[in-house]
Amino acid sequence: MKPKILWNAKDHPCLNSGYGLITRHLTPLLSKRYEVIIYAPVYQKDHIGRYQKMLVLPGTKPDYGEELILNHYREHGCNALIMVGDMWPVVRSDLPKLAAAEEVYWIQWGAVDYLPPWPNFILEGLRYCHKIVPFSQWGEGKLREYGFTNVAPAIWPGLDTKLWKPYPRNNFPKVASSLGFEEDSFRILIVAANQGRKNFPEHFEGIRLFRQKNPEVKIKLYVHSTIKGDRNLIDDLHYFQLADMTRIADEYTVACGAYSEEHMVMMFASADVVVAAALEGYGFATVQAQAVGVPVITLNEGASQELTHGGILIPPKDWSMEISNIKKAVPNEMAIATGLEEIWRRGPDRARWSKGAEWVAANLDWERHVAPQWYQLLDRCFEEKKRQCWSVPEPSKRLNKQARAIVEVV
Amino acid sequence: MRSRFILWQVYHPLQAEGGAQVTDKAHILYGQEQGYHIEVVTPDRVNSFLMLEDDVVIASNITADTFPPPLFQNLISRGIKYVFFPHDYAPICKHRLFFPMRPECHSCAQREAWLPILLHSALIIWLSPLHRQGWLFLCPEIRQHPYALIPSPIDPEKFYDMGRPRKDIISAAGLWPFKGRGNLIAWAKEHPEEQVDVCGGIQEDILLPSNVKYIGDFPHAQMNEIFNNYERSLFLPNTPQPFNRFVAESYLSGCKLMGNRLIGCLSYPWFKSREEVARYCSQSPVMFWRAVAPLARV
Repeated sequence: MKPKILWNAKDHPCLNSGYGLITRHLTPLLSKRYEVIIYAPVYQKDHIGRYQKMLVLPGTKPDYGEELILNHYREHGCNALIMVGDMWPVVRSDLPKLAAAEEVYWIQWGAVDYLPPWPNFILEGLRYCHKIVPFSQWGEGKLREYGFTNVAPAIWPGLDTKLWKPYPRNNFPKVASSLGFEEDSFRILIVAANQGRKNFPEHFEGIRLFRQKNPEVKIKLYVHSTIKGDRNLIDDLHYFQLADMTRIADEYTVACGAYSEEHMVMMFASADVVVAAALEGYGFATVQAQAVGVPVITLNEGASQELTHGGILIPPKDWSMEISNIKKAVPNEMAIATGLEEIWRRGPDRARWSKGAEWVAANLDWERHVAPQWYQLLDRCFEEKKRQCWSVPEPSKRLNKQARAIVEVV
Repeated sequence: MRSRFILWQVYHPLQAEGGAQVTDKAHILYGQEQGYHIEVVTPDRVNSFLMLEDDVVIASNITADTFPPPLFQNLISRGIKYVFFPHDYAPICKHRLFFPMRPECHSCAQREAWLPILLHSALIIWLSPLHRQGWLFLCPEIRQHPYALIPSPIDPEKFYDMGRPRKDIISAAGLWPFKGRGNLIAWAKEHPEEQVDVCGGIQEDILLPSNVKYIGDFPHAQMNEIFNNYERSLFLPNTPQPFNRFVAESYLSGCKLMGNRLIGCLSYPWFKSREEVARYCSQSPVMFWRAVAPLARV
């Protein structure tokens, strides 16, 4: 019988979010070897559905309470729970307690994207995780520095490399035009959730400085995000005097997660540069840009250091502290401007940045690279779990025989 | 300075009434009568308890999560002697009395952590030859290690034949799954003419055959009275029980025994007559301190 995995990446595989894509591409491969049950509260709220042949379980904590995951896990007789996503909210849930009590075998695949010193709640909660699988080698290194012994080698999330591959700059003129990009413009793309940690003001200031120094360059900026989130991007763009050259994604389509993966490929492929200078535990935009042959400006801190092969790493200038005492790096705006200038001066010849695309093709294919690492890891986990004797075993045959032989003492 | 004996126990023996605590309580009381300085340390104060180099630790009835290996590594590094006194198969087997003796037990993940700790102990105490055999199955490496076989202490003045009329069969705790619930029910079904009363060891509703009756949970002090109502006692565990004081107590109370070879006390060669059982079990605290006391510095 195949071991059963409860897969919780939050988003339904039909969604085009990072976690939706991970689930969409990886779970069918995992289901070749294990029985995979998906728990996807984002989109699948109130009934059981199916993705391919896999069950998709519904329900959110506010509706069904803290024990929902445990109920799903028990109800379906799962052998492991794979949580995909940020670790810091998970360690504040009941999961560490359930794992400590061996109610759930907890594997966490996710981003480590905070600078030391880490807050205690992270250090304490992750102790109970049975296997922490970081998205990056940088995260793996940090966990090991903190003395965690439950760390597995990092596994980078993958890409559909049949789709995410280099394209000529003007291959998708209609999409480019819809983004406000013109053929003779220098096309800058930002793809990021509207969160404080994504450093929108620093990105905008870097672009403003580049524009100020190079007024002859016809710059077009497309921001793929929601207008309102941690920041009001319209206000920011006006503040940094970029509103006249910028387009923002359609609010409604983003909110519905309705931009298809194909559309995203065409969007990335139509840009001249992608700016993604935030402290990331992975960085989808970083690898997606490189996959299609577009250079990327990233931060020389966190996972970007190991993921940037066709682009420019810029230094952080400072750090900031988020509400949950998590430290983030803030990029140097002047370095963003310098990076943009360098990429602009090299011109639109994508062959100059081909190392990025080659690296993605050689490392991030779901089937060739990511799934085999998971097979190896999960097989090892199940073997370890067996050795840890999780369920009460049946007595040996010898004992059964002895139990049946009645002895009388008078 | 005289050595102190520090008893590490999951539950305080003077406050809990499990078999392990009843055993430890008898040893503590006898040890105190002999003038030994004994301290009980439960998990809540093990980290704050100040250990001295001359102390002797008796790790009695510990589990891997309550007294984890680093505590022992600390004792080893400080040269503090310790006695390993398991009352079941913990801390290696987390299922404790469910110990299945399966081939895969040899590669148990806990074994790696605990084997060196067992090998560094000054002495290992087993409750019966069968108990030792179970541990040797798990860790054959400890075959040559110093050990003592100490039966559970039972006071024959508290468990004796009261000369009352007797009938039927009693089983104590026999409805715990690990104490052989399935075997007991199967036996009762095969013997519909026999009435089996069961006390203790039940936490949920169970569908019992018509000739099996659950009569309730009784304090340990009342058990002699209960046993004296029955002609026979029945106990059919399906995993090796370290000693099983119910079997010995009911025997001393005058019941004839029906059991199997997985009952620890029946593995003693002297378990043949009530006189011998009374003699050995009543001497248990004496035997315990005779084994442990020489480890102390005088």
